[in-house]
Amino acid sequence: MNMFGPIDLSVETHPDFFRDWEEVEYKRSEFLTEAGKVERYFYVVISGVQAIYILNQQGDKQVIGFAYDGSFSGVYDSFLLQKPSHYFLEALTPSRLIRMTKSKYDGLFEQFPEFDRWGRLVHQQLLLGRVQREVELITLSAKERYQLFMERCPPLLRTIPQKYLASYLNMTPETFSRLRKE
Amino acid sequence: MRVHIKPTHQIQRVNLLRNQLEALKQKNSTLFTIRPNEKAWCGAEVLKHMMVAQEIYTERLDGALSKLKTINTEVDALKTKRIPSFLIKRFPPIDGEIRFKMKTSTQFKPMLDPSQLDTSQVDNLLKEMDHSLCQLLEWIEQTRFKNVASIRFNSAIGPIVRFNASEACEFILCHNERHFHQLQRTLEAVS
Repeated sequence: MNMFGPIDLSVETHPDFFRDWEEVEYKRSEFLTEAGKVERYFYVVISGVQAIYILNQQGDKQVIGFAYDGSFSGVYDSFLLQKPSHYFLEALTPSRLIRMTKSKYDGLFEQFPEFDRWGRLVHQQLLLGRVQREVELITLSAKERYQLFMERCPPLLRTIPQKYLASYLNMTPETFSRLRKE
Repeated sequence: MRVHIKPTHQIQRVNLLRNQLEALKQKNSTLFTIRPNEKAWCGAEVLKHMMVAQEIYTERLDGALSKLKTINTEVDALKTKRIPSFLIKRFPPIDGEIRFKMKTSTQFKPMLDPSQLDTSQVDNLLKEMDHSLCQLLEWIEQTRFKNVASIRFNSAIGPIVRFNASEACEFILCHNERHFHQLQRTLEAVS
């Protein structure tokens, strides 16, 4: 699967791209990034599930999103701005990823103009995804949010603890459990 | 109301203190040696006090954490006992103010003579403080997967208050939050 869609990547044309990744592994519940620390890496998930969440005023986790096999991962705003993260990124299952530092990531855009097109598409997808989620949270009932999520979510996400899915859907674990049984 | 301890929240708060410390390192080291008034501590004394107060728990926490049973599921939240909760709640600043004034007992007093401190000693204190915060982070990280309720140990004030590992970490953190607030105020006053 080519995560970098519109770019025709090969070792011959983009040798630095293939050289600059580092493979890393995280155990279940290990943090890739902690709130208050700067995100140093841009990740691609080879296997595993990670949740990105923020803590509310009571210190409870509010899940913003998930990363899983074949998706990008990392706290992107902290990575871009190189400022402390507001979020935690936690491995919910044992995870294997490849990652790239900020300077190497920036270098891709400087070295290969075609990455601009990729960057534009990724940012479009991110923006559209966030808007869609915001609209769904405002307009749909808990039951509708649950049904839509179950239709769309990859099977891998069904294996993670329910409390994370419930939080992502902005409902209590009890409501999530009740809807699952219906 | 009792304090609910959430390890993830504690980690975020320690990181916030580390970021504050990093910003303080950019200040002129001499400022840390000036007392705002005769009775008040200078910045270096505040730093030393935090480290002395934490040091008392090192052996107790390391000992308890090594004996505690590891669990598979992460501890999301832990309700503190009534007496530890009473003590812990008195420490952190509330709405940017320290509400409960406290007298420091001799064992926690920083034994420093600010007039004898040079800039390299101040820099060392700042480094040691960061090391203390990293140690606190390590303890908190361990409590995420420990059944902490099964072991209690005396707090620094004796058997009248007994902590489990999470309560001790929360106490140290609240104590640090209180004194980072004091540190900021002290440095502002002498700048």
